[in-house]
Amino acid sequence: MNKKRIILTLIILFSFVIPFLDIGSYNLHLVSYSLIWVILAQGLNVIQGFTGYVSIAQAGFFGIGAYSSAILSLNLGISVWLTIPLAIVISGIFGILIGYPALRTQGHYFAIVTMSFTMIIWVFMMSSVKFTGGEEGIPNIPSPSSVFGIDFSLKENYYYLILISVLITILFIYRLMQSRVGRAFITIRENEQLAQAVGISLLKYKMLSFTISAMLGGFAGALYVHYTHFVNPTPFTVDYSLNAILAVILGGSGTIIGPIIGAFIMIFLPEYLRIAEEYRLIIYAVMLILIVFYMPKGITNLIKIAYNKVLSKVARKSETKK
Amino acid sequence: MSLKVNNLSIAYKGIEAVRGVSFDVKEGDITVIIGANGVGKSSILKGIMGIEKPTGGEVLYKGNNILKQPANKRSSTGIALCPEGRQLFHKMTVQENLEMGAYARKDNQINKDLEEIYKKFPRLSERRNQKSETLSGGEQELVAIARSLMAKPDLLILDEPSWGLAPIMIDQVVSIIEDINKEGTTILLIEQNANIALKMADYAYVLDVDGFVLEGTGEELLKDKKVQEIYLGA
Repeated sequence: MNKKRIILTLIILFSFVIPFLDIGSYNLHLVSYSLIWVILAQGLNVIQGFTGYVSIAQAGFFGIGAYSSAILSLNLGISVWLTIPLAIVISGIFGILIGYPALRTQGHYFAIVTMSFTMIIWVFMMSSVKFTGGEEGIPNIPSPSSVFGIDFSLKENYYYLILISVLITILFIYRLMQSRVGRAFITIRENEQLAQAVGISLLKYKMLSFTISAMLGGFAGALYVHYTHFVNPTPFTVDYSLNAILAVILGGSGTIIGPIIGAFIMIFLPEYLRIAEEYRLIIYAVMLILIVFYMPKGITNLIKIAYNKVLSKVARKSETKK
Repeated sequence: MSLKVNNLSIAYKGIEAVRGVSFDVKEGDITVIIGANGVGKSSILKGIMGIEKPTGGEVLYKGNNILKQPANKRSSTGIALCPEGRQLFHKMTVQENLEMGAYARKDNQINKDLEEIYKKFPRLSERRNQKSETLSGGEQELVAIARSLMAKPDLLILDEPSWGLAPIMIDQVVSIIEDINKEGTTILLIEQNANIALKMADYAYVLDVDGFVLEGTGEELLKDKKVQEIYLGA
């Protein structure tokens, strides 16, 4: 599809010029934060959307990535360029450790096990003051060192680091889902027994899916922590795991565009509702209920339907003209 | 002997669904198991396929006890299952479903076989890019059978392929199964529709709650008074 390519190129080009537009530092911050959430949600989408296991562990992995990169760079003085990949690896290891017992369960039980994990991680962050700084958190987390004279302590420059990370993540997911491995994930979502009958090892592929999802969660966390220069346990509660699930569902689970749209909604919507501060959460809740009610397949599906309608209308018009 | 089941027992939470059944599937034959609802037909299959863990007995395939292997290894040893109720990967296209059937294969003949399948099932060729959930019931059964053939099995196990199909579709499915058998694939067929199944059978078993109550060639059983009474409604 050529049209799709053009639209895609335009969106990417546009995302590269955003820092040059006069949108104000607050909005730029929201865009950056949304992009970090895109990585988080893309990760969750691998296990939730493509493999069919709704995990409430994503905020936990987000936190593991954040704290790993923060502690490694601050206490051990390792370069941030190294601590980010290390954080991804550490999150992946936790993914394996949690996935192994959790993936023996299904449905609600899987959700409960992964939720407990997020709670445990949070309690650990709060209570092991020596290691994580407890509730007060860790301040003065360094920025990545300059490369080619680009100073990453500037938010405008850090934006590009996030943006490129997002693009790499999306490309990775795209390729993954076209591969044999991606196919295996989808068959597990569609019918586990049948997947097994055609020769797919359930535990192996579920573990792989969950680990990839954990690694991307950790990646998002590491990017986040060198962006805010400060970390405490607040953004890693079960609430945020649920928000991530919501982002995937709202956007359209099991699609690649879905988590992107969902992440932006989850960040922008509550912020923009601040105009009506007192009613903010009520409006927010009602909107979410309406979206889930009337667009169960997510906003991506709605856009698809609208796009097809416009196309068929145009086609009909040109036919009647003849 | 292709498949030899010895004293297979399966229990769900202590309640025995299959009580020590034994039967043989001869190489090149169509072997049929008929029986009413709830006598454990599908449980036997689940046991053979490794989806349920048997509480006792053994399943020998070409002389090896396959119960020790994990379920996902069945496909690469040459056993394919076409499960009951037309189970498909519903959100995938027909072609993707067929490709998944060959997932465990490592040779490079897959695309060639795919075209062969399309020749055999021209209806599926027309619908290859359609999502499988949009197909009619009969077409879905064809996809399910075609998918299990993509594994190039030596032994094809079919679980109630006639389930919920129109009579005309049943005839088509029967002739497809007979063709597959003529091309050299051993078949184990589990059916409720005794009339159709026994006509195809080289050898057949009648399953009751207590285990097998009758066995014999398809013709013998078709003539059997008890079978006629209970299963053929004569």
